[in-house]
Amino acid sequence: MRALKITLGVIVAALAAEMLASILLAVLVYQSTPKSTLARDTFIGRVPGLLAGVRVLDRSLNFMYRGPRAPEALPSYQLTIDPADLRKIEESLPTELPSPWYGNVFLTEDAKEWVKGTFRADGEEYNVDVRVRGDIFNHWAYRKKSWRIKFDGDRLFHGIREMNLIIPEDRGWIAEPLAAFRAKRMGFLQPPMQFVTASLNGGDPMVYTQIEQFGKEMLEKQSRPGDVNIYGAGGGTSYFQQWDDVFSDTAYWQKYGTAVVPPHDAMEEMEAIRVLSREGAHLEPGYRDRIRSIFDVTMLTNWYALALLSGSSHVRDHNIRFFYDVSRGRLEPIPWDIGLYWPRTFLSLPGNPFLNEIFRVPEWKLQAFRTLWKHVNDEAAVEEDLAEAKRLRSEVERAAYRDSAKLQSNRQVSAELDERMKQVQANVDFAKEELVRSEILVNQRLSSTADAARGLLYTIDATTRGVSPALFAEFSAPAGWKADMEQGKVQLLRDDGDFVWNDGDQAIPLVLRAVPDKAGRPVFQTKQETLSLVWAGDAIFDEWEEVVQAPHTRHRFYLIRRSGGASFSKEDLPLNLEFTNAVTGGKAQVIGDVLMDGRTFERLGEAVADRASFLRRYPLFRSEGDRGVFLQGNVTLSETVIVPMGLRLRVAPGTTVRFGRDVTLLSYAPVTLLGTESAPIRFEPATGDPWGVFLVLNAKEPSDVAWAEFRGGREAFINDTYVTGMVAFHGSPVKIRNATFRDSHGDDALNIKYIPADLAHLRFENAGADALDIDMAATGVLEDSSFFVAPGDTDSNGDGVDLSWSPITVRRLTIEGSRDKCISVGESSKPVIEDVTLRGCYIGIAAKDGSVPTVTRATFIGNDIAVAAYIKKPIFPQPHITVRRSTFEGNKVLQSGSLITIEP
Amino acid sequence: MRRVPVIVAALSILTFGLGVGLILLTLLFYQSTSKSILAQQTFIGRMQEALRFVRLADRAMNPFYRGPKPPQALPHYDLALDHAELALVEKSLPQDDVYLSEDAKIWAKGTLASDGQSFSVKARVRGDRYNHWRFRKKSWRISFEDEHLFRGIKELNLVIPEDRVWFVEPLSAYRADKFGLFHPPMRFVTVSLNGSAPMLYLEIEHWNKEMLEKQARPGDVNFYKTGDIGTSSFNPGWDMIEADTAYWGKFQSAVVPLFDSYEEVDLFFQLSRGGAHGDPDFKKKIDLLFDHEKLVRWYALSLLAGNLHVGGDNLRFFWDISRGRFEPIVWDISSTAPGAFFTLPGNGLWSEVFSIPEWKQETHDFLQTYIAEEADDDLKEAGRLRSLIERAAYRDPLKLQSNRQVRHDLDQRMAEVRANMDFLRQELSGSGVAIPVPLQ
Repeated sequence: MRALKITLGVIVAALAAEMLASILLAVLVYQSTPKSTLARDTFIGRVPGLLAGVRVLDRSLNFMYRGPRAPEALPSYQLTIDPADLRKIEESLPTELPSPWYGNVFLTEDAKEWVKGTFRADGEEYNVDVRVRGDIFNHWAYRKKSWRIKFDGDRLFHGIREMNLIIPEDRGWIAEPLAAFRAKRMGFLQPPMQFVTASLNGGDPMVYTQIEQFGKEMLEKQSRPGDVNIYGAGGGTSYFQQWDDVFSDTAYWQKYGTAVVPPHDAMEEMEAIRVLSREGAHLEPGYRDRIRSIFDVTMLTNWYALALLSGSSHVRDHNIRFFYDVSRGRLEPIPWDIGLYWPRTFLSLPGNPFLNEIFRVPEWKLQAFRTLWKHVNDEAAVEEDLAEAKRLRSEVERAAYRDSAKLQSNRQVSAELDERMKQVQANVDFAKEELVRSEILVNQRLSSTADAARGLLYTIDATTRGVSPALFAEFSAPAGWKADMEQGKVQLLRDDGDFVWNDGDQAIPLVLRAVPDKAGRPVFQTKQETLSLVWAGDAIFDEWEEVVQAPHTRHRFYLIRRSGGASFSKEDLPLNLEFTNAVTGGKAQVIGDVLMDGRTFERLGEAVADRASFLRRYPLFRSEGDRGVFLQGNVTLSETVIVPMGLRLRVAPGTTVRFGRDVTLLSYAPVTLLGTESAPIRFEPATGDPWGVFLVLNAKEPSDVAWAEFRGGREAFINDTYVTGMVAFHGSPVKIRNATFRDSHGDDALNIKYIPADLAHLRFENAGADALDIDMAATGVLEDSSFFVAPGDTDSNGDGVDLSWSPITVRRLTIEGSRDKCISVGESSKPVIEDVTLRGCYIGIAAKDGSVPTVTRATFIGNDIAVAAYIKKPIFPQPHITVRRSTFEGNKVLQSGSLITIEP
Repeated sequence: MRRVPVIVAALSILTFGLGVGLILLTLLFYQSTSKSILAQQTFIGRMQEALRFVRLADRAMNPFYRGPKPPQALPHYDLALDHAELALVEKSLPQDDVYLSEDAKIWAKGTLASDGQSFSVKARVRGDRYNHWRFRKKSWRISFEDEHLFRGIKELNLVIPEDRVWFVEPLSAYRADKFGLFHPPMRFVTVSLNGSAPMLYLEIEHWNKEMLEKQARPGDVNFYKTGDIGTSSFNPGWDMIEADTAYWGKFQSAVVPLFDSYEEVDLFFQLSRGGAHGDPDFKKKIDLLFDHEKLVRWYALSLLAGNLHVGGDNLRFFWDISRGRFEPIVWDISSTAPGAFFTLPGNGLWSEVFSIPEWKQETHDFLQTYIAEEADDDLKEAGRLRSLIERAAYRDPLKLQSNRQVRHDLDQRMAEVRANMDFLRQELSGSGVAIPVPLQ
C-alpha cells in the first residue's frame, strides 16, 4: 500500500508539474503570438462562444464603473421606429464583403434603407425618416447603431434638417469634439456636434455623438452661403476599391449641397483639385498661384497643423469635405474625422494626394509647422485644449458607462478614454520635440581653378533630413571681402534646383551683421527667407506609408565673384556657416560639415582621356603606333601635361624638354626615354625657376630610361599625389641606365616607390636634399653610380642614397659630399651593400629603425661619422648594421650607436 | 486489487507520454520562436533570476571542457587600472542603450606589463555595441605614451574574441596576407585585469599613422573612418555613410594638402553611385583610383566568408598619397553560412565594380584557383587558430558564454569555413561562367 501511495504521489506531482508547465507554455504562446493571429488563424477564433464568453466575463464587471458626475445633463432623445421597419433595416444590412477588393463589410447604397419614425426631444415630437449610417460595419453590425435622422417637411429640430447620431467610439469619444473645438478656434467651419443620449423604442439611453449633416441649413446657420456646392468623398462606389479614389477621377466626388447660381450642376471645382493633386503638381509652373486662387492658404496650413496636433493620418480621400464659397470664389475645407492618435513622425505624408502636394511646398509646410509650434508653446492654448478634453470626458463618461447597448465593456471604455487623454498631451509634447529637430549635413566645396576663374568661388551644399526646415542664416566672410560683398561684387546665390551655377540662380540679399565673428571677420546675414530656406523632401516610405528612412534632401548655394579680386586664403576655410531652425528660431543641428577642395582632382579626367583628346590638347606630341605618343626636338612645356593611362610615351633621342615654373609632366602611361651617348634626352628648366617633376604613376608596363639628363626640378602635388622626386616612378617599374640628375630642388632627385630597383650608371650632382630615394623596393640592384655634392653647396642638405623598406643590393657606388648620410638605411630595410666609397659625408652609412644592412668592402673616407645606428621613429625596433672587410680613413668618429658590428 | 496496478501503470504511461509531449511541444515552440520575442514580449524576459540560474547551470559544466594544448603560448598582459577610475568607467556606461555614446568613452589610467616591461597606459572601453562593455569582460582600447610605445604600437584594441567570431577575423587576416591585402596587425593574447584570471582577447592594432607606417605605407595620409553611430537622430544605429560625405570621418589626416578635406570621399561616391558602372570611363577610373586586382581579392575574401559583412559601415580605406589611389583595408569580414551567391556584393562600390562582367569573372576565376590550391591550407590555419585559443577560451572565467557555447560556436565556425569553400567550389564549377548582372 505504501508503495502504491508513493507511486500515486509521484504521478500526481508529475501531473501537477505538467499542468503548471502547460499553463506556462500557454502563456508563452499567448504572449509571443499576435492576438489577431490567434483570433483569425487559429482554432481560438473558431471555438463557438469562446471569445463571446470572454467578452461576457469582461462586461460582467461593468457595474464597477461609475464615472464622474457630468457638469451638465446631456440632451436626451427618444427615437421610435416600428419594429417591422427595424427588422427591414436589419435584413437589408450587408453581412459579407461587397467584393474581394474590400477590406471591410461595407454599407453600400442598396443597404441604406430609410424607414419612418418619430423623434421626441424637449417634450416635442417630430416625424422623421431614419436609416443607419456609417460606411464600416462597426456602425451598424451590432446592437447599438449609428443613425441618420431626417426631419420631415418644414418642421425642423433646432433648425436641423438632417442629423447623425454616431456611436462615439467611432469618433474616439472625445477626439472628434476636441478636434472640432480646435478647428473652430482656427476659424474653420465645423458641423455642430454634441454628446446626447438616445433611447430607441423605449430602450435604455445610449450615448451618441450628434453631428449635424452637411447641408445648406448647416452652412447658413454658421454665416456661410447655403446654396453652394458642398463636396464630400466616401466609398463603396467601385467594385475594385473600398474607398473612392477621388483624386484619380472627379466622378467619384459627391455633393451634399448644390449651388444654384451656376447654369449646370457641375464639378469643375473638384476637377481643379484633381489636377492640383497629381504627383509632382507642386513643381509645375503656376501651381502656387492656382492654389492661392481657390484657397485661403492659411486655412490649408491650419488644417494640416490641426491634423498634426492630433497625430492624425486620417484625412484620407474619404474624409475630405469642401464647400465652394460662391461669394468669395474660394473652396473652404471642412476638417472632418481628424481622429486622435499617438504621435507619429512629422516626416509622414499628410495623408492624401492633394495635401501631400500642398505640403511639398516648403513655405506652406513651414507655415503649418510654425502654426503648430506657436500653438504647442502657447501655454494658455494648450491648457485650454486639455481643459476641453477633460470637460468632454466628464460630460460623456458616466453616460457611456451607463449605456448598456454599447459594444465595449466599461473597462474598455475607461481604458480608451484614458488613452485619449494621454494622446492629447503626448501629441503636444511630441510636437515640441519633433519641431526642434532640424538636421543638416554640410558639404563646402572650394571651386576648381577653372570655376574660380569664371567667378564661381565656392559651393555650399546643405543636405537636410528634417523635421523642421532650416534657414541658411549667416556666414563669416574672409576679412578682405567686406567691401566687395557690400558692393555686390561677391554674391551669395541660391541654386534653382539644377545644381549648376547659371542664370536661373537668384542672389540672396545680405546685410552685414553689426558684430563680426570671434576672429574679427565680417558676418553676413541672409535677408530673404524663401531663398535661404532649406527643407527636407519626402522620406522613404514602405507600402503602408510608414517612414522607413528620413530623407536626405540637398540644397545648394554659391558664392560668386561678379567683379573684383575676391579669393580665399588657407585660413579662410572652411567657412563658418550658421543654420537656424526655421520653425523654432533656434540653432539647427549641423551633424556633419566637411570641406572639399575642387582643385584636387581637377585634372583627373585627363588621366582617362583617349589619345585623340590628348593630342588635340597637346599638339607638341605626335601619335606613334597603336597607342603611342611621341615627343621630339626642342620642346617647351608651359603648363603641366598629363599623359593618360593606356598610352605609351616615347621621347626621341636628342630631345630637350624645357619646363616652365612648377610645370610637371605626369604620365599614367609607361615611358621610353632612350637617348644615346651622343644625343641624350634633356629635361631642364625653361626659366631660372625650378620646374615641377617628371612622374610616371601606376603604369604597370615597364618604362625604360637611358642617356637622359634631368636638371632643376623639384616636387609636386597633382591629382592628389604627392611627389617628392624631381624624377619619380611610383608603382611603375623602370630600368634606368646612364642617366644624370642635377640641381634638384625637392626632397629627392630620383625617387622610386613600390617597384624593384633596376638602376645602374647613374650620376647625381648637387641634389638639394636626398639624391636617390628608394622606397619599398622588394628586390633589385643599384650599381655603378656616383653621387656628388660640391663642397660649399650650402643649399644641399640630404643623403646620397636613402633606402626604406628595401632589401636590395647596392654595389659599386661612389658618394661624396652629402651633407647628411652617404647612405641612409631605414624602415626595416635589409640591403646588401658592397664596394662603395663614401667620402666627406656627415655620416657614411646610417642604419635606422629596424633596418639590418650588411656592408662589405666599403671605404669610408673623411666622414664626420663613418657608421651610425639609431632609432629615429620609435615605432620601429633597434637597427643592426654589420660592416665587413671595410676601410676607414680620416673619419672623425668611427661608429655611433649600439648595434654596430664591424668585422675585419 | 488487481486493477490498481493496471490503473497505476496506465496513469504512469499517460503522465510520461504527456511529459514527453510537453517537452517536445516546448522544444518546438522554442525552435520556432524568435529569441528576441521570447526575451522581450514574454514573461521569460522578466525572469532574470531564472535565466541567471539557467546560465549558471550551463556554466557549471565548464570544468568538463579542456581544449587541446595550444601549439604555442599566447602572449600575456597584466593590465592594472586605477580602481577609482575604473569605477567611473563602469558608471559612465549606458545601462539600457545598445550603443556606446561619446560621453561613455572615459579613460582610466593604469599600467600594462608584458615580458617584464611595464608601460604607462590609459584605457577605455571600446566597441559600438553593448556586447563589448555591458558585461564583466569588456573590450578595451589601450593607449601608450608617445615616448614609450609598446612594440611600436601607439594604440591597441583588446577585443572580446567572440565579437570577431573567434578565429575567423584572424583567418581573414591570414587570407588577406596571402592575397596581398592590407589589414591591421592582430593576434590573440590573454589579459589579466587588476589581477584577474587571464581573459582571452583578440589584440588589434588601432587605426593610426603608426600602424600604417609599420606596414610600409605612408603615414600622413587621409585614413577614413566609417561606422560611427547616432550622428543623426533619425539613425540611432550606424550612420548612413553612403548617403552623404559629411557622415565620414578620419582616423588620420594627410598633411600635404592645403586643407583637411574630403574630396576623395566625394570621388568614392561618384564611383559607388548606382549605375556608375555605365560610365564609359568607369573601368579606367577604377583602374586609376584602385588597384582593381585588390578589389577583386577583397571581394573574394568576403565571398569566402559568406559575403555578408562588408557593408558601408565596415568599409575601411586610406588614400595613398604617394600613388594617388585608394587602398582598401580588410576589416570585420566576419563569417556566415553560405548565402545566395549572386546577391549584391554588400556596398555601393562593390556593386558597381562587380557589375563589370570581366571583373566578376576575374573574381570567380581567382576564387576557383584559390580554393583548388589553398583550401587545405586555410583549413589547416583555421585549425591552428582554433587550437591556439580553445584552451585559453575555456579557462577564461570572465567571458559571457559558457564553455558549451564556446565550443558550439567554434565547431560552427569551423564548419562554416569548410562549408563556404565547398559551396563556392560547387557554385563555380557548376556554371563555368559568371552571371554578369547581380540579382536584386
